[in-house]
Amino acid sequence: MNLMEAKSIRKQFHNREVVKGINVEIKQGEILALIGTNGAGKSTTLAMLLGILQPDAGTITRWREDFRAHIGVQLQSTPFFEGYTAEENLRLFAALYNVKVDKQQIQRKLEECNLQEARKTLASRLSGGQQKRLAIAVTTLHNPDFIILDEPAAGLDPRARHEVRNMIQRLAENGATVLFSSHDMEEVSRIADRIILMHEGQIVAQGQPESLLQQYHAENLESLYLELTDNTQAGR
Amino acid sequence: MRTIFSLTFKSAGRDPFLLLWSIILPIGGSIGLGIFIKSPEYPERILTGMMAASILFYAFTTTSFAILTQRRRGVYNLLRVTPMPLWRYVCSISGAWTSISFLCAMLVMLSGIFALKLRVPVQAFLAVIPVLLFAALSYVFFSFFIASLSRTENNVSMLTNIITMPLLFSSSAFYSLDNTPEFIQIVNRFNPFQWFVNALRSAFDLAWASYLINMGLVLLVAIVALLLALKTFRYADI
Repeated sequence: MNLMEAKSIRKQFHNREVVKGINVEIKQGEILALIGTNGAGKSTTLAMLLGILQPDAGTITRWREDFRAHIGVQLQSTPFFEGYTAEENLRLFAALYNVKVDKQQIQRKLEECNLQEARKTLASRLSGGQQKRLAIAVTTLHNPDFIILDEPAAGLDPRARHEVRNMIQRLAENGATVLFSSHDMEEVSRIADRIILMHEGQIVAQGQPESLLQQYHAENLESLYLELTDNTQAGR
Repeated sequence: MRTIFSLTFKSAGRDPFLLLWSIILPIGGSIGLGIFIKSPEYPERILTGMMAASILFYAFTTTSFAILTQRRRGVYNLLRVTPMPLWRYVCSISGAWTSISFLCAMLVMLSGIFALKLRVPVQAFLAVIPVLLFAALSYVFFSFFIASLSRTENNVSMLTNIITMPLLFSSSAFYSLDNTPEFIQIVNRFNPFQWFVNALRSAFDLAWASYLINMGLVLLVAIVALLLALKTFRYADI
């Protein structure tokens, strides 16, 4: 079953087309990685899938009308509420999703994300890794069917990246569908079931990591990424 | 809505700007100047002026920064992917900010009445409440407009100073304008902050005709500020 299906979606800003008629299918239960060069149109594609931006052309079909109550979203800049502690941010986000949470549930979520020590710390004073983990905690507090993470491990040290990867895998094991964007090919190869590679507003490759490597005779995802983004530039 | 309201309230308590500009400064100013300046009518003048200033500093200046920060951090964009409608969030947060500002002004008033030994009838006390609430609400709405015009903290700082300074200094909040040049007195007649101060003073003096006129003007400002806020609201900077 497809959770979302985007057909021929396009978007332009200031007469520059940043997404050029792409088709995206998101299947229930998969971990899908959206990768691509800077300015490839990944964040714009995510924003259109989420309904933050309307496509200029094309259609997006979602698995339910009230999808907003059943998705968890972590945008690129983690939008914590200024002046609130980690625990207060969790309570506030629960309120935004119309979810009633008691102290035990908040405590459990903080423990799951290894944030119990930081519960009374202002979110803005948490370390980069703690902020990412808190972002995932607020994203998953309402047990969403579908989780979208925009560069969840960007700017983190190896340990923090490892923790975030484990969290993403645990979410998928618990039945959630996860779509994440990333520049980190190691992260993608470790956790993604399927990959969509974007370059200059178009999808240049998509499929399971292993089959893509076979199809393009590439050693690893990084060389595939370099080859496909170079080929596209050379072909213009 | 209740959670957003209560958490906003709680976080405001940790804000040092609130403590300084909307509580310590107005209380210190009204008590200090009220005792220092020996004039029978001055304690009431300075107290009402400082109550109005307390509202202006929090409901307008502090909240303008808070709204800009929330927008720049992507909070409003994120709201678009939650089931919470934006209007409910804005109402909750505006309600909390209005209540906080109202409580600060009440604290200023009670401290002033106690320290300056003013006699304020119960009717005056009750009449002050809607003035403070509507004025605070109008400045909160206006702060949404200012934040929409701004891209950075510097923009907000500049705009709030450009607006608050003339509002304060062309009003009779802290001193009489009787001996000022005529153009200041003309500006004063169209100064919304003066209408707010007038409404407070009319309430203290139980001058009901003036109270109703100035209260009406305060309400008008609130409606205009709401329309400006709605018309210019921005989810994000792009």
